[in-house]
Amino acid sequence: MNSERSFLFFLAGTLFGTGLAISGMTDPGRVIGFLDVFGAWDPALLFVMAGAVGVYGLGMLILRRLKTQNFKLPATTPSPIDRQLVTGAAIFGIGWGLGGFCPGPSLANLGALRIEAVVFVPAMAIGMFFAQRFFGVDR
Amino acid sequence: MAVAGLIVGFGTRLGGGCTSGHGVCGVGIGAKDSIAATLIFMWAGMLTVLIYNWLVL
Repeated sequence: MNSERSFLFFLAGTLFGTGLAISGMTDPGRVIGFLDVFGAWDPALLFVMAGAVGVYGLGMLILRRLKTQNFKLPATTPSPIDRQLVTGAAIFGIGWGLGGFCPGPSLANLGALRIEAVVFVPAMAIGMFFAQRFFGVDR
Repeated sequence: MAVAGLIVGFGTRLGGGCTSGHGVCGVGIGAKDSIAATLIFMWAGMLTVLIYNWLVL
């Protein structure tokens, strides 16, 4: 990776982290509030998600229209919905509901040295290691 | 928190993505597998919070 590219990655990471923090996605309490649909539901993160999906989708649409050679776009043919996807997503959902942390925000909180993240992130790395060890790399 | 971390790491790797990967990037390009994954982890998360609250409160 050249230095210009590294700088863009740094910029993208900073923007992502800032967005997560401002939107409340880095606060486990708010995440659990969002998941608590049968209790005191806090729908705010639905708008965060919708906003992110909208902006990302629009950006991808524009990039595809431009047919530029300078970008490497993600594949348009999705992988099949198999047992591994369903099981993995369900397991992830349980962990997400228990801790209120998903990978991105937990890493952002590690940067802020929040104590939960200091415990969560190494445990997450161990979980990833086991999944990779016993079920192969990503689907 | 350690248990949640273990579960999240394992599930993310096995399912091939998380809230950002499937939820934003996958759904954003309309990938069917990502839409399925997002619905599943949302549902599993909501169910977990419901059961947790029921057990604790």
